[in-house]
Amino acid sequence: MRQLFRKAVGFHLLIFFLSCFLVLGPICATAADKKKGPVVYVSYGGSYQKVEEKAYLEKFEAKTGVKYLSVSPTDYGKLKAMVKAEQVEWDVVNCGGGVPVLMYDFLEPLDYTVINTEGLPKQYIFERGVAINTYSEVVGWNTEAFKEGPESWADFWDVKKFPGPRAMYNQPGTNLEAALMADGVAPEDVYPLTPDKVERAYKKLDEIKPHVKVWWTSGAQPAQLLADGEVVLATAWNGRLSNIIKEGAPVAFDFNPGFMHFGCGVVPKGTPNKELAMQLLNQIISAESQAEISRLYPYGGVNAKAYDLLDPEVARSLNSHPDNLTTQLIYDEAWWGTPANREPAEERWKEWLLQ
Amino acid sequence: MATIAGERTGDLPVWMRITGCETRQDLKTLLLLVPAGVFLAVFFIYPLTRLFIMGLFDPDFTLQHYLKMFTHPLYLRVLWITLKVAATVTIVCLALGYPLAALLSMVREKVSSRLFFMILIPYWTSILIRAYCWTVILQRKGLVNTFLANIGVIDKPLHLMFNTTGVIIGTVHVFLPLMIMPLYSVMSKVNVNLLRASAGMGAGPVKTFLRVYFPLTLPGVAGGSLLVFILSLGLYITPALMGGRRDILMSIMIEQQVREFLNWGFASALSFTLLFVTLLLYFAAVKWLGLNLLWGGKR
Repeated sequence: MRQLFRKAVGFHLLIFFLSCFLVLGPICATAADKKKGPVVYVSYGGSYQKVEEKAYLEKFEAKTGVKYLSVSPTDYGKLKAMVKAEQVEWDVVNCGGGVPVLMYDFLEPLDYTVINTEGLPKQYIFERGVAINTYSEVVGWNTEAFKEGPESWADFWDVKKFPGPRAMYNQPGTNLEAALMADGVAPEDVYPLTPDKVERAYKKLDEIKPHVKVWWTSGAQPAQLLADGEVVLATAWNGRLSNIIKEGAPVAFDFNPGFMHFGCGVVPKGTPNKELAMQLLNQIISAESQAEISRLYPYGGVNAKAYDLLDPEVARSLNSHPDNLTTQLIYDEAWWGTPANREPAEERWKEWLLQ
Repeated sequence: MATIAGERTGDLPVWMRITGCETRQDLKTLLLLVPAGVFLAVFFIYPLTRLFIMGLFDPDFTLQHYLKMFTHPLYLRVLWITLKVAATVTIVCLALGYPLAALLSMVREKVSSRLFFMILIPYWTSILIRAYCWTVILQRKGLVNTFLANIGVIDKPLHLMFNTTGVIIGTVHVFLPLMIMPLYSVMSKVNVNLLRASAGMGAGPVKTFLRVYFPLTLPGVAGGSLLVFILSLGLYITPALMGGRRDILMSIMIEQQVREFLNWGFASALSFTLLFVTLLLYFAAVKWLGLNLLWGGKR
């Protein structure tokens, strides 16, 4: 009996120490390697991130010889946890909508002696973030259902002219503004979103609610739904739509109507590769990288100098081209990014969905 | 009181009496549990405690998160939807799993091992991939609708996706093996002679089932149902991908609070509400359904 007991204890201790080695070993190893990179870039994955790798990261590696690691998706919860635990693994993070106000305390102030902002409009430069891309939310349609798509938000709401199920973004932002414009509000009068405007928007949204089949949450969803014919109209990011059209799907879109967004690059506080992160950001907003991204994906960049490097054909197709900009509404990232505005709006949105 | 080493109970040291050890044998068994205990304490109990504290101290003591959870109509509504969906999934799993488990316990080893294989293979497939596969099968122009339309059974596509039906189908598919396993383990131990005795005394098959077989399998029913219910409360991927606008579950709310709003105090309150519901159900199952029989406890 005693023999058996000793064997059992010995066995357990062995397992325990083995697992310690297996767990601690890699942690120590990665801690040592951190000083030489690789630099970790985080974005939203899919076709867009592949294009970002080509335009930003490969060029960065070619210039500096530092390897990169491309990770997805951007997750503010993870970022906060990393910074609090002082175990930051991300170096540059692509944040979808404006500078995330919530994350302010967890971000490094940017080093503008390294980051050259020549060519960027002032509104794109912030203390703890810099705009790195622009993207638009537009209306895509299935070409097997309609030859011509909607030319206004009122058209999107018109179920007689455009019958069939729709897909819309599952958040109040852009949907409230679209509802107001469908109800006849002029684009320049949409902001600020006062409570009475919000009520008016929800009344208008009630009309379209029974026709919305899917409330999408990830960028790839609406493009796929349109391609499958699951829905006939959808709001979606123009880049994802262009991509699926290139793959031969029966989908089309234009920039009328649309919303103009910009995304920011930020650096998490306490990252061991701070200098490399700043250098990477500098590469990202350079005219060279911004032009390259526009060649590969129809997102206009943030750097006006990039237009000098672009083919006029390509420039014309970009969401940020002046011709295309006239029919789009510039989304108020600052208002929607403030938690005091966003949280009650989201709660109201969920209650509306549940009705 | 006879013990292995011949010691009397009254002679045992205090700490042995506290932990319920009566013999040296018990003590050795307890010591073998220490590594597992330490692991659980460090990687489970400690993080759980910190999470719980996060919900009550933000940073000073506050009940605002729990108050919000229980007084704001939205969150109560979401909790109710979550409980309803979990209950529906459990009942469907029970209806499908009970006959299947009974079959498994009665056929030859060769047949049952092949059947087990077929049940476990989907279980080992990623939940995310399965949700997308269900999309292909259930969507408006998917497999089911196209087939039914082609053979003329329906002329308008059925709404099987992006609604509660889709969520139920997807979730049942994920958890059915977990219902079958506990049921099978109990059913395979049912003494067939008891059933024969019941028939021998004149009871028909229905009566035998209701009065003999089913009560004997009750711990398995309790175990499987509890497992499926608790896991359904927390499932995120399937409802998020297959649900519609009304399928907002607690898991989706918690995810948004953690990832988007960084309101971890409130997320903690939401999570622990689910945990308390779970614990309540667990103790009810032990008391009234004899759940502890499943792992050799005594009534």
